[in-house]
Amino acid sequence: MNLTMLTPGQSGEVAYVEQDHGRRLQDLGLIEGSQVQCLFRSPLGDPTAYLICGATVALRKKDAGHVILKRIWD
Amino acid sequence: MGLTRQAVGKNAGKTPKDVCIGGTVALMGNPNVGKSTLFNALTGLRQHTGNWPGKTVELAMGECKFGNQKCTVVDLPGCYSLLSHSPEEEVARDYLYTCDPKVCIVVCDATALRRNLGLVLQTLELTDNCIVCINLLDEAERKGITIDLEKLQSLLGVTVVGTSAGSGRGIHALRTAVANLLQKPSCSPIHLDYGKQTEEKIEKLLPAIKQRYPSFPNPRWLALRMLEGNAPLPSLYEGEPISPRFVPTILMGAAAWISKQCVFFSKPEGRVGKIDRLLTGKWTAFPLLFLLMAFIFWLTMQGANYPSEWLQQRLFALEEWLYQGSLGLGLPVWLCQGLWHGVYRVTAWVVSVMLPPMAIFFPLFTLMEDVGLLPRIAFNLDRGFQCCNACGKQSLCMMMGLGCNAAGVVGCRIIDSRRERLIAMITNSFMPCNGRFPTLIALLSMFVVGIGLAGSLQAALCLAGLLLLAIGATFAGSYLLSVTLLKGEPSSFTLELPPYRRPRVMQVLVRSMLDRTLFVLARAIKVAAPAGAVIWLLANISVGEGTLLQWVAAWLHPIGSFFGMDGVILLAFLLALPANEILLPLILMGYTGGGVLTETETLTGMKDILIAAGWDVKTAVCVLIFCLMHWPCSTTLLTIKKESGGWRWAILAAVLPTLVGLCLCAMIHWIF
Repeated sequence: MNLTMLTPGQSGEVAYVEQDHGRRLQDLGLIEGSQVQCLFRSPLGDPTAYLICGATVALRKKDAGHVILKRIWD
Repeated sequence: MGLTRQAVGKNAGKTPKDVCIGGTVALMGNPNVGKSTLFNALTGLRQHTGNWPGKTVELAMGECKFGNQKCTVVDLPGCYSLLSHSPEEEVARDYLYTCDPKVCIVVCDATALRRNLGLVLQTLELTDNCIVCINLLDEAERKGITIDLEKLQSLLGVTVVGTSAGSGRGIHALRTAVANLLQKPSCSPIHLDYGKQTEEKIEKLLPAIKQRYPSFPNPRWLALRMLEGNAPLPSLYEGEPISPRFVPTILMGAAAWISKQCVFFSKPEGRVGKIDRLLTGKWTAFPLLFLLMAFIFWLTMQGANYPSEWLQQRLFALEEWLYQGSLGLGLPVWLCQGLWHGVYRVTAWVVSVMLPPMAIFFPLFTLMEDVGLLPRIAFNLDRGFQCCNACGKQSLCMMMGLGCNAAGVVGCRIIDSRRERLIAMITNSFMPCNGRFPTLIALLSMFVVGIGLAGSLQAALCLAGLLLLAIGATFAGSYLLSVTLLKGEPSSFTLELPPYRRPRVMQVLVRSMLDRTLFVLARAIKVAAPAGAVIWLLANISVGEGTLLQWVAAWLHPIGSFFGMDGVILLAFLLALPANEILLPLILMGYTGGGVLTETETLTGMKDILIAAGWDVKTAVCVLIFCLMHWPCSTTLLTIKKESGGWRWAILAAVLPTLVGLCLCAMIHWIF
């Protein structure tokens, strides 16, 4: 289960971020246990805006795919 | 970075004065927290950029009095953490431990405190003399977020001040807090526990560090960095490095815990604002943005009309008076003509025709930036950049390029990867800068749409259309570069979409307008005047059968006409290298030879001159296209050279748009 599977409105809990891509995403608050919510998508489909630690951050599908989730809920 | 005064204003690049007696106060925080607003509120007009001792990074510095101590305030680049390797973060981190400021103010966004606290905790590990400034409290109020500042203060162990820098709330309290800290540096900031194993390792390293680096302000921080294998100084640790995820996890965990105690939401988080729904909606996003740009262009044109007319009348009347006056004083005729019909006229032209639109567009654009629209535009356009293996932040640089290409190039610093930064810098001048707008508007009004109110609406739409062409060219150029000279993998991309801010309209408009006016005026004198002199001389010095101008124009003519233009136009483009806004005056001067111009003040008068010189709609379109796509102005070229570290890329930046422009012109000329 990874971040790209969230549709707008759904939330997820982060398990971990795959190693190579860790740094920047970590700094933004994507660490084990943090909650993420999918907000909206760009009109061309990519990137997608997520609510991370209170801030709205846009991630590309490629990068969001490296964020592994523990669980998803609406 | 943005279209700030520091980037394009008068004081950019000066060396800083000596650090004030009171010492330095550093401002740091995440990007988009209102740090610059705070910086401006503290330092007012007493600011400049300067080189930080020993490095080539320029930092914004200013002066402010705290209590009775005059201090230098340094605005560090926005960063998400001190632990990563991006250039901004290294600058901030290195500044803290080499320059050891007396006070460090960490500015936080009240609407995203959980994440901002991560940086606060990292900073507290590096320096004890911290003040936490929770900014944007008014925005938080509107979103239903309340923060218990006292609880936060007791948990963090340092002074916490709440502010709304935009409206000035809390600034006084902040200054008092800094003054108090300067007098009595005593804080007991929160101490994070990294668990038994790690703490033992730290204890073991500390003596060695204190011996080897006795002057390092915070040995514990250095120990942790060595354990991670991420120390800025040669490491004294020989064992297995701890996981790079370890420290951030603890920090963010602590940040989450603290924010849970202090932040209260009365409205649910994660509601998507109506504006965002529209601006990024599948069917509404692009049409809306197109209309927005068209509206801004239209406002610019309408708003510029009256000042333009007024200036033209005054300045051209003055010209005649000055001419007669100087003749009366006994100055030789050729000198009077050269001075007033050449130099003065071109300068007056730039001031009256070019300056008003620039003085209006720039502030409007800064307003857009202030509100927070630019990241949304980047968000919408990113897919295009993905296809070009470029960085989505390039669209932000493009937007800045709309104001000034040199500022756009400097703005490319927000792109981390060098390869993507180069792509952004080289293609930046496809975006028409402020100096080109008046030319485009005038040409559109004269030859494509017509003059008058309906005409100006159509012209605005055409200009927006030209903007689309420019964006398309940028994509094409970026793609071309990414498959030939600048091949590589796209880097990871994160873009923060800050909440919309209520713009400080009057402040931005007035300040930006003044700034811009002064800047363009100064440039008019420095650049337009000499250019006017050159072209007047060329037009009036005879060699053999014709003037120098005729010779040069005739020589350039075959090249020019192949591309749908002519020799004079090409010469004007070449002479307009220092500043794009002098193009039209130079063309007109080239055709009339500086003789007594009857009616250049009005667009119809200009049109008559151009038609008499052989122009038709096709010529105008070719000139429009070439104006849009030709070599960048000299300031931009120099900036590219400086930012990229060599002339190679600057030359490429000159060649690429020129080639594209010439191809399009040739196509238009020969096919239509």
